[in-house]
Amino acid sequence: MDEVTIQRLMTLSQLSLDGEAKEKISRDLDAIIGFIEIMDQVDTEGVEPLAHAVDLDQPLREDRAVVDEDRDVFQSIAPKTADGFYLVPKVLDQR
Amino acid sequence: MTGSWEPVVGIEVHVQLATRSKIFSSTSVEFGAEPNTRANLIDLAMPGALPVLNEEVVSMAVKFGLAIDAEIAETCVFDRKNYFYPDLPKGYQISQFESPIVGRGQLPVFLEDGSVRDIGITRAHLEEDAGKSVHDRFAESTGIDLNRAGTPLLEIVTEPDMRSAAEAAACFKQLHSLVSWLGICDGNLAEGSMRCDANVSVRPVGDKTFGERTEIKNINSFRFVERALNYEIERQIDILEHGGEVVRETRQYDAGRDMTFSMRSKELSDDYRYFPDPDLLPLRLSTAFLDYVRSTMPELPQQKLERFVEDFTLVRPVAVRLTRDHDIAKFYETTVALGADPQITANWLLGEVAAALNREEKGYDDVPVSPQQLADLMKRIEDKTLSSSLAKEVFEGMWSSDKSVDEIIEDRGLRQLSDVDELRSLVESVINEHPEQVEQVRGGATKVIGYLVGQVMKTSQGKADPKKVNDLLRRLLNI
Amino acid sequence: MKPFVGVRELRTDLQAKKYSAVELTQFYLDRIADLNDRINCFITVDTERCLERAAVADRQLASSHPQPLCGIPIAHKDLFCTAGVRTTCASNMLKSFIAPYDATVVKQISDAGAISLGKTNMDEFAMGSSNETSYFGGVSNPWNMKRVPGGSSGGAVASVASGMTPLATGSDTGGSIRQPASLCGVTGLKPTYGRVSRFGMIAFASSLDQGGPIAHSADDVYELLAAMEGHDPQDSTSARVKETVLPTRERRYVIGYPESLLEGLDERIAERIQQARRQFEALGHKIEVIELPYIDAAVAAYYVLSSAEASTNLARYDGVRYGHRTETSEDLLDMYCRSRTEGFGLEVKRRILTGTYSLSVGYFDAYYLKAQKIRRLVRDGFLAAFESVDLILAPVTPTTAFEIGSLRSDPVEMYKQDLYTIPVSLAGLPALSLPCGFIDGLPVGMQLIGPHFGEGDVLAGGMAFQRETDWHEQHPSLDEPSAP
Repeated sequence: MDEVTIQRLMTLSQLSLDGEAKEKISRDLDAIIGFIEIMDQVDTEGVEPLAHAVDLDQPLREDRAVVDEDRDVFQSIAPKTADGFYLVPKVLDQR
Repeated sequence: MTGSWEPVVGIEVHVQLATRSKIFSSTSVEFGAEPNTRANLIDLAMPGALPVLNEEVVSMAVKFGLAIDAEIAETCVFDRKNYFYPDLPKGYQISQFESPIVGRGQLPVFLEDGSVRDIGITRAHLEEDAGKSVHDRFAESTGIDLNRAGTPLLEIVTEPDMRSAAEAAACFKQLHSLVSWLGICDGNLAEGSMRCDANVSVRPVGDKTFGERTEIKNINSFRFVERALNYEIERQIDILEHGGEVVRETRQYDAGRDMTFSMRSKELSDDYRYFPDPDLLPLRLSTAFLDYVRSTMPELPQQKLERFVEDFTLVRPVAVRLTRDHDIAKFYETTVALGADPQITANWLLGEVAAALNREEKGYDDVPVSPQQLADLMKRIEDKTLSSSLAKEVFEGMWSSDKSVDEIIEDRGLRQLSDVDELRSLVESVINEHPEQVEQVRGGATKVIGYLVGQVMKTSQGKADPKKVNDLLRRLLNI
Repeated sequence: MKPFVGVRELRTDLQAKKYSAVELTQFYLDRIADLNDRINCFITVDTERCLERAAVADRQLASSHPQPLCGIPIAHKDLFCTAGVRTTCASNMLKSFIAPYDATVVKQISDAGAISLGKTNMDEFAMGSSNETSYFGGVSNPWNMKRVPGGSSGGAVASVASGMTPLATGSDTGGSIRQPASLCGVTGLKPTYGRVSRFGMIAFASSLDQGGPIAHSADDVYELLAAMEGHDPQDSTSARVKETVLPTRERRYVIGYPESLLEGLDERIAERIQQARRQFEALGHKIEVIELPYIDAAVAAYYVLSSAEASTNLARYDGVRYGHRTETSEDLLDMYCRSRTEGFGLEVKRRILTGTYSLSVGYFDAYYLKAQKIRRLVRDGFLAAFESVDLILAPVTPTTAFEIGSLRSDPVEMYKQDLYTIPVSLAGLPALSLPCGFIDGLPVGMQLIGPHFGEGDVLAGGMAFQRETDWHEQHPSLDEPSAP
């Protein structure tokens, strides 16, 4: 796994590793991908992908609205809030 | 068309569906609530929380599909679109990528000149809206409000079938009218209930291939769609005429400066890693469900238009205007059903009523005059109790009170003067008072008779029937 | 009072007032206090609240209709959300996370009257086969403290095996109930996908995760399943099926025996499975040799699919609404990156990166889609087998419990531990893991696999076996530290 790929995977996953940790995980990923490639030995020509093992249909919920009054409970476990907002480091308005 | 260049435009419209609850949770959908008071476990993406699809969202999408004569997918799938952004609590948006609920369809778009163009609809798919980031409220931080997160959206994508900014604006307007008509969107542009993105490119007239395109994001009014596109078309032509190249990018329209400018990409990646959301199962739409939705469909504008032309012998342009919007069509039909003459009613709705609504910035859903009142007024015009000028006065009276037509006529003594002797004495006194004009008329200047009619109308305070006055004058003056 | 007592006896004793629910709860709390330091089964013990609830249970027991599990203690795997008690997923990311709600399973079990003692240790976010990836430290195998209990439900299984609780919940994605049950000599069931609600069970891989019961016997597993199962309108993947019913008369089953699977297996384990086969035959069941195709590729497909789902299921941990947020950050992206990098352990990072890779542009077809196709082949292989057999008898693990640390540096070898459990997970089938012998003082387990929603027959098969054997009644001696 080359440097560019691992960097790209880390960006997409919002993870950052440097130095030895990064080298170690690169080696692990190489081993895992090597192992995964055993799949190539299976002929899957004409086979439909399967997302769930049990054949079930999506159920539908009746359109009934509920207003909870749980904001304080939800925000009591949040790292940072003010005036009912969740706070994150300033994002430049990109819109 | 601009000079030797032809613009090519396609639009994508996000329609907020008018459900009570969100697409995957039972939280009430409301605009303007206190921050994060309309966000439950699921909307906040709490660990362990799971989505369940709202039935009404599905019916609304199907209604739209049926209205544009599109293929409705027997089975469709919800996908995850993965990217990190603070107003996207799960780190992915649930959307439909490979299998949209609504496939290819057609939308007839009425243009300003009265002609109709069929615009191809590529697809329409369901997805959830994101929350909002508030940048100006806190000094060091951005505030996140997730009330809007999970609001159901139908994203409608058109073919690049439009050839001018005006056509694109007309198409957006037509979609607005259709989704309002179907009752699947409240149509409130100011609150963001419909948001339009436009893909635009230009090419030399006669070319078959498309030029490089740009995407203009989030244009939220009919007027701005036209302005933004006109600006962008000019900009692209200018680049190309100076030997430059259009860069494929996303642009933003600034209404204040009336220009578009390049946006940095909003998301942190360009690889969304779409895959079927394993928390949801394939959505299969049974024939029974489709039949049920079909049975709840209102009569479509096009069908109504044809019926108006047929049943009420309206000319097509009038019928078009009466079916452009659900509320005006409903008002018209109710009034006519109460016994009013279809022609007179059409003229009044599109004339006096439209002007008065315009003056007060009201819509046809908020007319201060009831269909019953209007129908009664139409009848008094038809039976000649009121001249058109008196009718206008009665109309004004009805606008500001809920009195009946006859009450207003009585109160104000507006009944048309129909007593023959009274009219005759009025006419005779005008003849006596204007010997000079009478002489001119007798000498062949028949135009002057209009002046004399005017004088009679004036002394009768408008209550005389001008046609009868004219006849009587001619008879008494032997012309 | 003594440990290792089954549900029926506990129920009879409680109703006969031989001891009260408070006394029983205190007995287990004392045992946890004695043993947990050595085994590390529990991340959180809910001492105060469980005694309060036991007092309520005692009042219920005095009424005419106590609930089926009234007053009986249970431990929840620490990925089931519990309002008021922290739910950590054994991760630094959630080390002080207090869920604002109860998982459906937690609620159902509480409604059935059971008393939650606390939350059990596990591999971080259920990713692991040895319980070594827990932020709160590894769990020891009660049969040998130097060995792993298996994973990811290592704490749950070890707490039952050591008699700290008679019942425990676990979750099984690729073997996380069955493999540790086998390594610790207890009985555990992975139900059919859709049988037990996933609402409030913190997701690892949504299309595979299934909560299930762990206990001393198939009888007790059935008792707990009855409390956990059922359709949940809050989980779209929850099945609308009738509850599990045991066959009213003893049935003679046709049991499929995938002989070729045993070829590469440790001989002594294969011998235990053959012995179990002979016991089933002696009980009048018919054995039919079957083939299960694509087993090797199934493990690879499982790692692709489960990692892909995990990579996006874990995107919600961004330090904004709950969970770990880094102390200092330069900007938003830095905050995300640091919070996640600090919050997740190595194995979780490996899986997120593997999953992200397999979903990326250019790799999607070769990995993710290919894995889904193999999933179909694997499932269809089982469905074909169930055309002619009622149950399948199979091994659970390739070895007995291995030494702590021995596989830690080799993720691929660790993944191969789940060779026998993974195909069943891909196929969404129910499977019971139950003890069938010992090798060098370490338990060996076997699986009874059934068709979709065939839990009744799977459990009946296990009960019949346990009536004839006493492997499940063997318990580790914990009075003194085990010999080196």
